[in-house]
Amino acid sequence: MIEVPLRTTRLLPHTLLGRIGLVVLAAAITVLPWLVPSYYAELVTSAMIAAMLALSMQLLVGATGLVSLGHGAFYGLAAYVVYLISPENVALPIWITLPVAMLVAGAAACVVGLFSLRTTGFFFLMVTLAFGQMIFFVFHDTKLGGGTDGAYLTKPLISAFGATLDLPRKQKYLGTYYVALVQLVAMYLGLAMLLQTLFGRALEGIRVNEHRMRAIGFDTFKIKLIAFTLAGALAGAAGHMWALHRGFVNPEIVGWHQSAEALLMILLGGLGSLHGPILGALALTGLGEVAQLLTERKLLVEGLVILAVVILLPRGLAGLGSRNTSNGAGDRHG
Amino acid sequence: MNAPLISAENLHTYYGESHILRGVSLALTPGETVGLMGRNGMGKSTLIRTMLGLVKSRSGRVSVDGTDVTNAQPFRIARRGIAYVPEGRGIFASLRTIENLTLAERPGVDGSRQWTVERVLDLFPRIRERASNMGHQLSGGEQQMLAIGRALLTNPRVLILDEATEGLAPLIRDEIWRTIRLVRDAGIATLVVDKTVSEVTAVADRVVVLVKGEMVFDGNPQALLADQALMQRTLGV
Repeated sequence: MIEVPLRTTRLLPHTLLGRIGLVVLAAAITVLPWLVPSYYAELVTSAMIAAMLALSMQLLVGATGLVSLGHGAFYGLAAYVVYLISPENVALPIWITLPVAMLVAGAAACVVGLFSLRTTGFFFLMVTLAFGQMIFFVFHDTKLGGGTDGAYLTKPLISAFGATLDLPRKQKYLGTYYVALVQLVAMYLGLAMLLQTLFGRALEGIRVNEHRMRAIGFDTFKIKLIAFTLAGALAGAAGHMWALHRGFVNPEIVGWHQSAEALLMILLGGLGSLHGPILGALALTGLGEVAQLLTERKLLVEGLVILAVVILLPRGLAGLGSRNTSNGAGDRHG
Repeated sequence: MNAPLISAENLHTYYGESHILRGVSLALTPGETVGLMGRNGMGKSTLIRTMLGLVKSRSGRVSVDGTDVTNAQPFRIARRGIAYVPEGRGIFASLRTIENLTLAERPGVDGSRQWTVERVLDLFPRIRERASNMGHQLSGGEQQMLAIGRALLTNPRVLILDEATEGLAPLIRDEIWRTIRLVRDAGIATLVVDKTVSEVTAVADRVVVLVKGEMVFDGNPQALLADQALMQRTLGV
């Protein structure tokens, strides 16, 4: 057989420097909580959770070309699952809550996908929005969802294989921080590996031209449904982490603007790379914090910065320092 | 006569209000090479796309091995051993050359693996040289070879080529025609859409001509070549 490098795909860093950059970023996040006050560590935890949501969405948006406005609903649903299965004042271990949250979110995504993936483009956007809002109204102002104000839950215990991480109250945030980091890294590496399989190539083919993939003999509906379900389950992991981090659920986290915010992070970080959403989530969280210090009009600052990034950096933050100007989507119009 | 591998019967296809195919029937028997000719806009591509399920027909029937596949999902038709090399080639620009090939590789309907990536690369040495290039870095001719290679990797029984030589340099055209002959000699039934009368009539067992969505000629190439008036009227040559 011929020797051909098959080990990179469009969405993964193509240069050694890029890969080193990601490792350095991961290392920096690893040591950060020991260097800064707990407030900032918790802020980064929130950013990492947002990054997980955006990353799960990138499997749809960047990898498959599916822009969904219902993705956030699976995230919020998973957080509510943690609330609903946790008995009052009893903390369940995460080795129970995490799989259950992911399973429920994945199952919901599978059902929504069964219907919504029959449509494309604008209609897909609207159908996913409709399904997302249906899930929202299950929890909005209902007894099940703890009313409009939401509800407190007992945070799951960080526990696996019979061992429980029992930290003093003041250091609890460190446990949450590292659980989020481990999940984020695992999700990134898992998706990176997935994209290098034939399945990942098929997603790329669907993104570029679904008709062509069908003409080659791929059941593109099935492939998209698998991707949609998986992305939903991964959003569930992010939602579970939110519940673990905040110990609180409210209907807002199920709403459509969760999806919009994740899309914004993807846009900010870069559509054309898997690490883009992570950069975007960190940047948007940081930006929000800075904007809050400067002005009361936080969203105005955010909006202007995002506008500037989209105009000046069409490939997002992930495209910074990359010489290759082609975004690899060349034959979209071909 | 052999039972047809793929056949279209009395197809009527519309684009909106436009009646494109007006009762076209076409069948390919195993190993047969058919040339499909006609001027631009006469419905050649629409006929192919309808047979492949990419365009829905309003009436008529498409069958593979006698099984009705009218308006079936395109991937189901493709999996019955019908491979398609689309006009404009349809290479995945953001995948490597080799990935474009491995993506499509699968055993044929009878489980045969006659065509492997290695064999396709043997057939097209130029593609082998460019195996790790991205799809959009290939020349038009190389893309065409890649598209044919990709179709062969599905180990098809029928290969449908839509304008495979259009816009290519003469030397590359020759290479594509050589390949088409090789595919024919390998026993794959082939439907060739092309405007080069001399080449189509040389390679095909049978030629059909479409004019405004209707079949005006179906016969052997010699009969077409002998009828200068018909050629002038229907093909403009």
